[in-house]
Amino acid sequence: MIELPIYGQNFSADESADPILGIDLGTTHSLVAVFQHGEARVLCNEDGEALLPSVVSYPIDGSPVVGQAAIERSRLDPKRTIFSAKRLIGRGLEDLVVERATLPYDLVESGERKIVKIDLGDRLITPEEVSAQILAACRDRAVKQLKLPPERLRRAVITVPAYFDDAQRQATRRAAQLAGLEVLRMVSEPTAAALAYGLDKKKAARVVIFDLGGGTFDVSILELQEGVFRVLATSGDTHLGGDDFDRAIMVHVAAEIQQRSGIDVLSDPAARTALRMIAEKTKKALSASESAEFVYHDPSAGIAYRKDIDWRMFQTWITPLVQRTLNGCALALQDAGLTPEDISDVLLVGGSTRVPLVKAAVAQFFNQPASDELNPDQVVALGAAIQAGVLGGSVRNALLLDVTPLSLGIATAEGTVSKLINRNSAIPAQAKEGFTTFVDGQSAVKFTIIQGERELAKDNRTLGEFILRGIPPQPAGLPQIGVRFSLDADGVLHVRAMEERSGVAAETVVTPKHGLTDEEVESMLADAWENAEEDLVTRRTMDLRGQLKNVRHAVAKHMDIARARMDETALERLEDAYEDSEDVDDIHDPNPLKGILDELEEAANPLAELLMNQVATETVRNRKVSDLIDE
Amino acid sequence: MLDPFQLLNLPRGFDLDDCVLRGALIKASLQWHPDRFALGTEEQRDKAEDHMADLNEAFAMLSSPLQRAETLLALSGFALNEGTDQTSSAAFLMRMMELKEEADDALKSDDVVRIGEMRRRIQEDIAHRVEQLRDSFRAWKAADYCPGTLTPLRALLTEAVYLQRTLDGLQITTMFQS
Repeated sequence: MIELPIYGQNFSADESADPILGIDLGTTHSLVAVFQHGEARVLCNEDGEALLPSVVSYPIDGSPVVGQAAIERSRLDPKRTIFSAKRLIGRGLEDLVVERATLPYDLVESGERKIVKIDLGDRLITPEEVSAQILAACRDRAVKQLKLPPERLRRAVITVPAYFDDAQRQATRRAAQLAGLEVLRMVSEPTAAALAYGLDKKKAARVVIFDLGGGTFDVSILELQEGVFRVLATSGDTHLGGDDFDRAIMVHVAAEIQQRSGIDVLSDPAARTALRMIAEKTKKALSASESAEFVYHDPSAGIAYRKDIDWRMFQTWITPLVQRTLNGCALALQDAGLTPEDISDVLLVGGSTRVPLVKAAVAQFFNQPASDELNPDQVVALGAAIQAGVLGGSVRNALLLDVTPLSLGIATAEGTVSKLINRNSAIPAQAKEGFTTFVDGQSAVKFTIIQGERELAKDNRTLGEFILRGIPPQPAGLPQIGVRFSLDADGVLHVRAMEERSGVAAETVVTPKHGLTDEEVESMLADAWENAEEDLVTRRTMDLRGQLKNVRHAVAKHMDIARARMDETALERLEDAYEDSEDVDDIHDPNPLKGILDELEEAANPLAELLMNQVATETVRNRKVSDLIDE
Repeated sequence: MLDPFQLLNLPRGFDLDDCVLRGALIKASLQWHPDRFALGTEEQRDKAEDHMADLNEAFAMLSSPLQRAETLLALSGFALNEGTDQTSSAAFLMRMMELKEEADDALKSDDVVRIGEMRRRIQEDIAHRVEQLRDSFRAWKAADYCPGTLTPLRALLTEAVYLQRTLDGLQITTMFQS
């Protein structure tokens, strides 16, 4: 027997320890939850709202705005209001052809590694930065609700779609890093949902989680037994969700408008934003009633469009999308080695499962009613909070065993893929494969790391490349190069290669093709720090200018009284101070501005006293105080 | 080589109840999963990642009866040799080639129902051989693990592995991947 080292596992729960946040970073909205006093709860804002819209707006002068306030800016400033950043994260432009056509903001490819950036006009930002703003807003909400300082809320469990690939997971981790959060674990969204659903269930069960959100689709099959949640198989599509239902409506309406008026409304960013919002409303209405009115007016373009969209039309438009979700279900069942009869519960998660056609199609596929007993919007965040409880030690009776959604391998010289880890393997996972050289005396070998299920390397996602150098010259085929893949519990891949005869080794965490590197994240963090300071200075300067303006306005208004009733020295001082404060537009440093303001206020003190006396007198004469005092 | 029976604390043998195997994984996971060490040191977390990866691999090796059989042979020093092991008959090889052609046709047709039916048929074929394997392993044990009694077992396993490969190649996967 191998002697297993036993060390102190099961750290005891410490109720006074800093809470670990459970964050559901969604395409359309995000939530934050915590596990406290034996239960998970979602944190709401002051208005009792649990959902934080995943929208960030970047005003041309000022700090980014997140959530509902950002939505309110979207019509005003469509090109600087970013929604659905989750669909862009860890992606290249070539992945975003469909989305790009209907997005009101502009995307560009930047740098050698072709990172997708959003073009705000005056600067470029990455999807990671947008997500970081949303994550920071989640933490701010927790700071307010839990009444704890931010430095005590720095650890989080963040959910990601089960079908997110390595690049998307790493990009999400980097977004958290930018927001100053340490990610203790990334959990798959459907797995988190299962945890929230099954924690208090005693009996063993095989559960299907059908999770159709705003931008992503996942289906996972789990086995529940004695508090252990074991994922048997998962499948999905990171480009399929309620956004696509909206787009289906939008595209049909836009085509009809063009037919009637000849105007291509989709070419105008503001119109795209407006149409998308109306389409979303129409979709929601169609979940509750048989038809909904689509009204779009744009007087400046001479468009007055209205149409009754009934549920049949909508069904026809979205049927191909719903079929894609069913294909995913078939695949997951196949990989789990199960048939619909083996499934004991089917759970619906994600706002888009409110669409009646989706609900009906899922029930029919699994031949049983699909349960929507849980709040489809909140269940993932609650699961994240429970997982935070598991990691923190306050939930002792639960454990998640997850799988990797996609196969991982190395491209061969022939252009095929040598698979090291198969999809739906339990994580963490390790695998090793031997390679050798092709040419006599070859001293370096390049490895291309591939994720996906297709036969040919080029049809899959290339995660990255790395080169093992310094192999001592040997005849072709003689070197023994062992490549070892380690897939950690977050589903992130680490690769190590070693030439075994010489011991030459190379090691890497695969840097995703489209993601940010460590250096880039560090420089962004540094920028953010500098900008934060800069922002602070700017705001202070603007505040001081505002105050100065108010005081000057008051002084000017009562200058007559000052001249008539103030003594000469005091009047001179006031006139000087007034003059000195006239031209301050070139002063950007808050300190001299504060000096000028203080001097003016002090010089105006005698005038203020005079006015107070006058107010008292005037009041006696039955005049209103407000007539005398400005503002 | 990694001994999955030892890792999961299970008696070495072909007969292994699914529930027992799952129970063994769960018990080991509760102790070793990295989530149990989230607040531990980096060294502890790395160790947990490594050990849990081994446990997962051990579970995968034992949960498929064919892999379990191959593992048992390898642990006893009689590993199946790729290519050199004789199958039971030329007739079987012939059948396999036909099956492969049929599978390719089914894949080309993109017909999910047809693929599903064919998969079920192959699965039944494999299940049948797994039953026979069970008897063969018992016979081998009864013969005090005498290598001479292994020949029919190896032939049976080789056939089943062929079938499994055909099954693995017959998946609806690729059709949905864009």
